[in-house]
Amino acid sequence: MRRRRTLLYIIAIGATLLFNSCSNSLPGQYVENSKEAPIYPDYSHLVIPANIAPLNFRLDEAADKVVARLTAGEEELIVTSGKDLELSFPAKQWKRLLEKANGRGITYDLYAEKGGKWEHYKPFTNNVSTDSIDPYLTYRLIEPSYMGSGEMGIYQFNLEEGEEEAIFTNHHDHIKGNNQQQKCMNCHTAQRNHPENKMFYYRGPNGGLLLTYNGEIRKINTRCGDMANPTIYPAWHPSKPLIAFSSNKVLQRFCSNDNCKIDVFDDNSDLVLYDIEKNEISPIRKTPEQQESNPCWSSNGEYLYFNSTDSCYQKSMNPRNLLYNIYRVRYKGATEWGENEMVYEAAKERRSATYPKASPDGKFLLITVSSFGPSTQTNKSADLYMIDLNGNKVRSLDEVNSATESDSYHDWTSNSRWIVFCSRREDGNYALPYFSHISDDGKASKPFVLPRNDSRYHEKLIKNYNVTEFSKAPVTTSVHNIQATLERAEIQATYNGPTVRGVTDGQTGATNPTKRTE
Amino acid sequence: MEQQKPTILKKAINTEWASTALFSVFALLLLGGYNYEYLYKVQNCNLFLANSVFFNETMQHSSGLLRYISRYLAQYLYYPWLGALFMSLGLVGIKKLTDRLVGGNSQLTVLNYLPALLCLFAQTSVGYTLFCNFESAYVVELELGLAISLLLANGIKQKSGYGWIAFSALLCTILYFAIGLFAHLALLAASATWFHSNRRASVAGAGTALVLQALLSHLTGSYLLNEAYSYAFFSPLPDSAYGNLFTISLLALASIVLLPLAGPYTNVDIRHRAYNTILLAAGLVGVFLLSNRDTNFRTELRLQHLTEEHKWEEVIEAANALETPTNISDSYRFLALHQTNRLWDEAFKHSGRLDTIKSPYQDITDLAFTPDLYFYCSLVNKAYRWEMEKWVTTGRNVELLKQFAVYALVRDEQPLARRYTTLLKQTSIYDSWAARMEKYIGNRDQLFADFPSYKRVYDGQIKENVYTENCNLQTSYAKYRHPDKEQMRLRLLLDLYYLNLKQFMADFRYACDDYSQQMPVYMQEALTIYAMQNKQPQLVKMFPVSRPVIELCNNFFHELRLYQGMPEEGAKQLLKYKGTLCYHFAFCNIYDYKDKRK
Repeated sequence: MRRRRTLLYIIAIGATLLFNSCSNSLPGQYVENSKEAPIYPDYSHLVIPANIAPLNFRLDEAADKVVARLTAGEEELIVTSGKDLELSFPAKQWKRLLEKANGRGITYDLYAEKGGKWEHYKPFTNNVSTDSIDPYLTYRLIEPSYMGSGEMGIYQFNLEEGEEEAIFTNHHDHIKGNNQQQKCMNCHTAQRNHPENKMFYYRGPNGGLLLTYNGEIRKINTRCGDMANPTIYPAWHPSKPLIAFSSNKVLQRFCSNDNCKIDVFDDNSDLVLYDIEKNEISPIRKTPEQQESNPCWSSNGEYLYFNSTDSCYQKSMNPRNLLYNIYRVRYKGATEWGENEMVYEAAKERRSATYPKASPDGKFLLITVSSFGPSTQTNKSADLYMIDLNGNKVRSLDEVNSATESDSYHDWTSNSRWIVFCSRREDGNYALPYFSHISDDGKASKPFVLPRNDSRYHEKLIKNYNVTEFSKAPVTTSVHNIQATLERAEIQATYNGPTVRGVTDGQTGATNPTKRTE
Repeated sequence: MEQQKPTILKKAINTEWASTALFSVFALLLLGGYNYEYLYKVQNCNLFLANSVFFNETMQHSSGLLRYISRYLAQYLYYPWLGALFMSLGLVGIKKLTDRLVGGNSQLTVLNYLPALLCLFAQTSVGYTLFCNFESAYVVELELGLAISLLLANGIKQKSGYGWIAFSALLCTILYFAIGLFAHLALLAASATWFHSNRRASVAGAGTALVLQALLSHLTGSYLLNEAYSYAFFSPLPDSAYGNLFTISLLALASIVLLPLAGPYTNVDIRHRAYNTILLAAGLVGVFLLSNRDTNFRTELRLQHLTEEHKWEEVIEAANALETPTNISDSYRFLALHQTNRLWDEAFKHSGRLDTIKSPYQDITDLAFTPDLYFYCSLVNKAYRWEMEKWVTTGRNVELLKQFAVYALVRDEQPLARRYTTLLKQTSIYDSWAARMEKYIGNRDQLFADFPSYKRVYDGQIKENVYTENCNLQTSYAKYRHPDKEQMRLRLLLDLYYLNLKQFMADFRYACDDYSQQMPVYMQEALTIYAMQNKQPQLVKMFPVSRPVIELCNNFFHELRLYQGMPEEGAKQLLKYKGTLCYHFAFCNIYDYKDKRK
């Protein structure tokens, strides 16, 4: 009796599975719809990398069910949605499809059942590029808040597998007696040619610069000499054990009635170089009449790009008058630097250019241009601009820029073919990472948002993505290791440079050594 | 000797159900009646979203599943009486499970009420801590955790062999990832029941439970989210920084381990039952007296609740009913007076000595109310900014989500409003509210027609864009260079409220043309006081200041001299002047941000 019942159960389960697999078939009869299917996220007419995780999406209009048929040559993948109209592509079949389509297109045929009748939408195609994307993306997830930090963490996302992993969060910190919410983590970056060398800041009590170099993790205090501010924005030399930093004093002010609710700007900022092996800080630019920030090395490490303004912030001035230009300076070795060379004089056009990021092939410089200031993530006017370094031609990257919201925090893949940037285009408040393919001549393809297994994931996540950065290798430092390093005493960096700051005399132009006051 | 028959009253007292009924009715009244507004606030400070991201985030804590279920249940405290009923029944359940755990005639002793009583005590002792970085669903979590722990302990105690202990330890280790500390507490409590019969097993079980708790809370800390060492060990109890609450909760847990050590009681006779009922009643009175009974706290919660529902008349009534107003209650009264066009006439009618909040978490407590105040003062960006600060410092909650949605609707930020309403639709209580508010996206006129208070907020916005860092309402207002007549009136009133006559005169210079014919009584008083203080009698002649007002000020300050150095006595004796600006100036102690910083 019991055996018979078990057999019945097996038959019932088998029938259900069989029915479900059979349901992944195309409808026999349908009417043609002249429109393309509205889908969310918008994954249509894209150029996508051959090693990306499934781009799952859902039909964004009322229907009972959707069937998608993806074809690449002879390879075919049919997926049926549930009532949530969610189309999730099995990873293995998706990979096979990408392999078949490599260098060609995947055609999407979508069928929707509405009140018992089927409609077939106009098909669209996504081109699969032969250029692969770096497999890891690191980013910070943070509340879009102002002063308090809240729960935050640095995460890495495997773009090939579609999986996220926390590198460290401020709730992993076990050190007792501190206000957990005020521990900030930021400015993570890896060395381009040695991605196993990484760093990020852990701010607050017991914090410091957490540097992983040659497999060893250490906590360093980089503030030394007469530096008025801590080091903030880093740029790791592509091959040498050097990190250029800007040392900034960041201020905020809140707008009473503007759509742009907050202005973030620097009170003063300089550039310094940290030599990892010597554990030594030396000044790169230490000028009171200029505010330098956001350093970035050229692909060969010969130049350091940065943005700078000569209208330094004073209490009486409107920070919206702070306009930055892009400069570069030649690195002569050791602590020797050349003269500033103008790359893009945005201030002349009443604009502010910041965050230079050079493509690893040395052809382009991607920057953010906004109406004012050094900080772009809260500035709705911020757009991406591309500078062709062969002739310094500057153009707005209209192919990817949103009309009304901030586009910033960009980065290049190691093959210079893909960019990632954070955009608040969804709702003006929560930034999401978008990817775009860059062609030989610097043209960008239609951007697409970071794929997640659940197409509604980003609606459910109440966090902001920022400082997105590609990496060829994952971070392998364990949480335990980071915790242990945080509990250890910090290593104090030494200072190699003048302990006074040059102040230019307004009348004579002579530089007087004067102690800097905060 | 013939035994005397018990009277009906004695019978009632002696029966088990009498004490159970007494306890459950008391818990119901204390939670649902006395702490009605508090329970509503608990659900407002809670967040539950029926989505995978929220589930995964919650499950990253060592007591993830318990926390998830508690957050789900805490939503229903939206109906405080219903919530109180279920919580009371839960407490009775804890008592019954304690009876079973202790065994013997133990149901006859009041001691078995201890875990339930301590749990109720913890639930009603939260107070201002509620606004701090604190899990509000904790009041449900503690009760549910205790009940699960007792249930588990009752199961484990059935056997006591070493094999069984090993099996139980394994089970508790697995359950640690779902219910945290409560898993090992069950093993510890069960071990305590073996103490009288099998001491070796008892020691082995208790030792295993303690070692497992210490080990797992440390080891799992690297991938489960924990606040601090203490929190990792005692999760899901509140952080030890919360002093009293932490101690009471810990005592509740300790009680289910200690009681089996004291029991089973076999010598309890009928007379003890009566004593026990009386002792229980005394215990209940003790819980009531020692719980958080701060009238100001409960009134402030009520004011916030009424403001949320735009019941302005009730706000004024509730604020006026408070014997010693607080700066928060006064602020809500001002908002309600402003919304009902009575501000200028009644601003100082309830003025008196303000009682500042007695909270060790002053900054956070202020932050709990600040966004409301800024929003209804039409400083929507500022309200949003402080709301965000609250979001990250005191934790995410459904109240903030609702306010974010409203702010976005008032500012016509349509995608943002949709984001928040989409999230709210994933809650069990506010899904229909969110669906209703969603209809106003892109239809702000209809929103304003249906909610005139929001229209008032919108209309009151100052179009001039000014920039501020951290400053209070008065300083914010002072930054505007071109306020209109109504905004100037508010600014002048605020100057007076903050006892800043000098600033009032500075601002009045820009607005005096508007008052050349007629001016509100408070303004007349302000001018008279200024004229008296600075010996400038011509000032009152330049403006329409009435003779009765001048006489009132003269008389007041004349009488005030009699109570120099005795402010409390003066406030009592000069009550006939209550409601005048003079009285406000003399006796009101306005909370000063700068003083607080010192």
